[in-house]
Amino acid sequence: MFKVILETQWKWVRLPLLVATVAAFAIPVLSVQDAGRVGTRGLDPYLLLIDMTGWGVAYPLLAAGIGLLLAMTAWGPDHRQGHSYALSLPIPRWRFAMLRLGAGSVLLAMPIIGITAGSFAATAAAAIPVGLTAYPAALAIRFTLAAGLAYSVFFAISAGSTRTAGYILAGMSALIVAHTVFGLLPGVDLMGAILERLYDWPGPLAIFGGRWMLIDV
Amino acid sequence: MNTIRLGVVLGALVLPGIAAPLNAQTVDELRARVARTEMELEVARAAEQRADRALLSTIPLDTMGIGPLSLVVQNDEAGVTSQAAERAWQLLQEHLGDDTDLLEGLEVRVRWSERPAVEIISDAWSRGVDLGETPVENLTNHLMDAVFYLIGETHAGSVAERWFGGSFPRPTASEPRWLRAYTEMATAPYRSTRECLLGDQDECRRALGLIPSANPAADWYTDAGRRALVQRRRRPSERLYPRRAAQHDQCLEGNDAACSAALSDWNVGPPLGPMTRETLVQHAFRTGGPAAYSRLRTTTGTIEERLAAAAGVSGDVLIRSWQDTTLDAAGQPTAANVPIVLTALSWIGVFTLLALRSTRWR
Repeated sequence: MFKVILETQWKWVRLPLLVATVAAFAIPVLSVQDAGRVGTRGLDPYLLLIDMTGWGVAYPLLAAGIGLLLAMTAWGPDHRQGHSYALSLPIPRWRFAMLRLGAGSVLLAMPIIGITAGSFAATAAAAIPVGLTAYPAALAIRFTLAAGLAYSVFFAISAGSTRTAGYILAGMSALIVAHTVFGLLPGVDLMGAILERLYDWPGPLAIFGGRWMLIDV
Repeated sequence: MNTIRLGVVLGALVLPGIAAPLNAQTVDELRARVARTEMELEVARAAEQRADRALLSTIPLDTMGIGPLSLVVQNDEAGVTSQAAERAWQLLQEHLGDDTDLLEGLEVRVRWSERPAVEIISDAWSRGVDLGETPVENLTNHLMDAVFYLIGETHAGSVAERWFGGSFPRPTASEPRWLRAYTEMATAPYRSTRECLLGDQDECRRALGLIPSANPAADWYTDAGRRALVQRRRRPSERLYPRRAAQHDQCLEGNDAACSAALSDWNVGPPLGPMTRETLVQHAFRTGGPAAYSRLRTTTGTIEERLAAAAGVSGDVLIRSWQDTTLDAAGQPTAANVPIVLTALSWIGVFTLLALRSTRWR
């Protein structure tokens, strides 16, 4: 049964997933294209770090995007067909959800392999100045965890009913309204405090924070 | 038309009178003007102080002591100030040792403007500061700045001041910025900084400007370093400074003599900037423990000797331990550390469980 679910999910997502995999390979490779730049003062590590900081934004965005893509496509057709397929299967709901989750996780391996291969290829090809270090493995691990986390968050939301998604959307809207209203009061920063809880350790999105640098000090 | 003609004639008569050369000022006249301007400045400062005093008299004030130092503060904001004062006093005792009597008679006023900013004022010091997200730590540091500035007015050595970038080194409540120091060492375009990073102690001395020199451009920098220094400056105007502009161009083309000539008019500082040098000072204070600041202040000799005295160890040991600490700080900033990895895995588990609990009934 897992094979069938995997095949169907692959058919639903293959095109955007291939694009995401190519992007995952390309971003680290493109990020080091100027790594061998030689100025009047030799290899310029400072400029390289600035380049890396710029490219560093792309990794968490791609990880979040891939998580969203796989989660939405895993449940989208079920939602459209009124979950008739799931209801017709002689297995409990949790097991069906597990199969969907497992199939998505297998597909998630493609962009992870892409970013790992891209990171190692990029650091092998780049001239890294003295004092700087390449972190291909660390970047790949971090990307894996971030993509996995994004996938599990969006999967949990998609697996729920439309009512659940409505509650989540209503909650987010209420938050934005409250932020706008209370933001007028001096010294009140509602959104800032919430984002801090989310992105600072041990918040759920802590893995997305910090420096995402293929080459760093 | 006649009006225009009349205008031209009148203009021709009047303009030469206006454009006639002015008499140049004599040196005495110039001195008198400078003296008048200085006097006006003094009068303005006195007026500002009167205004400050008048303003303070309208605000409910509280006075607290940091040891022998008096702190005047608006009493509705005394909470943060008293915490900062307590921390500052702790640091002052720690670093001044028996010399806390230097603070005798000093008075610092903390005036809160729109939160979270304050203005710290004394007779010789005035600075508006933004307290940011860590008000106690920032206010402590600024109080320390004010206090050490006031002490430094009479006690600091000019060599140390210059080395430190204009103010005498002082302890702070913040952690030294080791990662920033490492990043500067790794990215500065000078050989000494790179060699220092690789473990060469003498190059560290050169990079930190600890080797006394009458000609820093020659002693602290290589030819490539001198070229990098010139490159970082703006090219002088061709029209106003043709000789300097030519030196600038020749230097960038690889002529080292031109680089030296171009740098001869500049006050060339050490390859590593004041923020990185500050980490060495903070390291010396931390290593030295009680009365470290007093030892720095009272010891004579080179900067290295004074810092070593503050740290209570030899210069070699101080530089080696500073180097090791800086290298350790680099760590693996990109790598997610173990707590973050475990947290991410835990949250993945939580969301997976939530997904499995979803119902098939819509």
